[in-house]
Amino acid sequence: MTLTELLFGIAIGVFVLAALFSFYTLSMNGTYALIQFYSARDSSLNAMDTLSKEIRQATALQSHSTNEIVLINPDGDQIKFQFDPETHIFALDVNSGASTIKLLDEVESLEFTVHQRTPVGGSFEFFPVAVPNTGKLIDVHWTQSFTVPGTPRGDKLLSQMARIVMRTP
Amino acid sequence: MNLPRQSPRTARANVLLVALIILGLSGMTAASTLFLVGQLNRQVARKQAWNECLVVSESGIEDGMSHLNQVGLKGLNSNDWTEDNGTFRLTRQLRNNRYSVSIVTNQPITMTSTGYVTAPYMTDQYIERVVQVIVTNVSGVFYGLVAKNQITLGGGTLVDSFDSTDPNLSTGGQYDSAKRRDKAKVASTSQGTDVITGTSNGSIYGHIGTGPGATINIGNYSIGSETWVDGSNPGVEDGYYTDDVNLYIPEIEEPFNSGYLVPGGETIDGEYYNYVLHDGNYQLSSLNMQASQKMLITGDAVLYVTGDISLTGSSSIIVASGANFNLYTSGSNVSLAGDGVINKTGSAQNFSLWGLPSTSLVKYAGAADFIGTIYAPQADFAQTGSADIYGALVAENIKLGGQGAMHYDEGIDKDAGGANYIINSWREI
Repeated sequence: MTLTELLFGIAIGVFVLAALFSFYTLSMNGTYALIQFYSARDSSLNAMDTLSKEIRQATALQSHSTNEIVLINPDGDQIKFQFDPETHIFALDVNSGASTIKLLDEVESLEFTVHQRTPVGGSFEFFPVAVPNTGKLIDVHWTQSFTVPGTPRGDKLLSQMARIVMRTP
Repeated sequence: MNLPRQSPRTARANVLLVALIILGLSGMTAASTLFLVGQLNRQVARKQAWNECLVVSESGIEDGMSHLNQVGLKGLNSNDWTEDNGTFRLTRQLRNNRYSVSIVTNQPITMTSTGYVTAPYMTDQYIERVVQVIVTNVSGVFYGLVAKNQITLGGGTLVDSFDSTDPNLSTGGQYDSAKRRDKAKVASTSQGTDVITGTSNGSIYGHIGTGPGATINIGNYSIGSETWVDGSNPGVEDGYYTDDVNLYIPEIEEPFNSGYLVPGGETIDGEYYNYVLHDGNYQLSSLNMQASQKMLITGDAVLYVTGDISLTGSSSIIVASGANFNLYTSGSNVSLAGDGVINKTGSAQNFSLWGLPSTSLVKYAGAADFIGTIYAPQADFAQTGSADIYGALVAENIKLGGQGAMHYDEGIDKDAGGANYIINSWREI
């Protein structure tokens, strides 16, 4: 074997190793992104499950704004769902700090919209509320970011939306 | 420079080794990706089953409510439902899913439904979700004063409530001001302007409501809880006015069109009555009573008047003790003046006036207090004089212009048996 042949062989070997490394990195990034997506999706679905259950069984809507709703549950507890745009955290607070559960982080946007149960004639829409105690139908929509290597924060978003009816008249 | 040359056989083995390593890595990557995708698929399937389970569980509640409203509390042991120590149960299969629902009739009436949905990728395991509701019995169509359009209150009108079926909230089934309640509802489904107006001082012990976006003009009325009204607070107490009234007010149909009797005069206990109605269905083309003419109802009677109704002079309709009278009319005008309707049962459940869609005006100016219900959703109702009203009203427009008060009887329809059960509380346990 000549030196030329050796160098040529080494060059091919390096090329093959580089290709393998690139393939490995790509696979790892893809797997990591997939895991991040699963994780975000799982926490998002769990948050929606908790939120929808509490709204369904609430006896009253005490107050509401774009970022938060305050419900009264059948045990008389005050249940607050609140989104903090600065910390990007969506949390559940029971009885003003007696218990706080972080439902989601990395939330980029979240919005509550409250309606009456009274339908607008000739449409599928419902009247907005003037006072909280007439609120029976709650729309919620949020976007949550998850990390993918090589992309900036907020580039990949997971979206959830629902319209939930309070069952109690 | 020459390097020692490897044998061609060794070189081929190296190539094979490298190829196997590459294949192994590719396979591992593909396998892990497939595994993750499979996990995602399972996760999605489980979430779908979880959500489906709530629907199945609520189907059980719907089934139970339908059964309860169809047969009432006394007939629950029917339609495949079985009784077990005062608990009524039903299990129903929905393809691969099922629900089991039970009704406990002790107050408060509690209904519990467990939904079972086959767990994804399993054949013998189920996801379960349990929903429990508390059911209450409410009046069917009567809530107090209900109008499709305007409600006008004048003359210092008093509106409050009592419950003729509860001895703690009435005396001998009669209104007692010492036991009054603040459960009256003055409601309009209209979304217009000044839907409810109060032209002078007055009191409403209870809630008022309008359609979305409507306005009210209640002057110096005091509206709210007993504490609020008894404290002479002007205006509406917080939480006692809402603009979300959403009621279905069905039209009334003819009670019958054949097989009826025509009422005639009779002397009973030495007194002559121009019309006497015993048990049965009766029909008249019109009813005009003047001077001291009287109609007496002695049994469970239904009278359908296809024309106008008019009571003048000192004429009256007398509902005897123990009698029950349903008066239907398709005439355009109903004017109950004279001595009015004398309901000797004292119960609003024993006299009802039903106005078909062609009835456009109902007036009450009788001397006797009106004890009963009026349901005429296409008619204007006007009350004048000093008689009180005990019962409930439903009309197109309502005007209470007299000096009398309106006492809503919460007991109306409570014992009617079925058709009045609603969910009062819902929770997942």
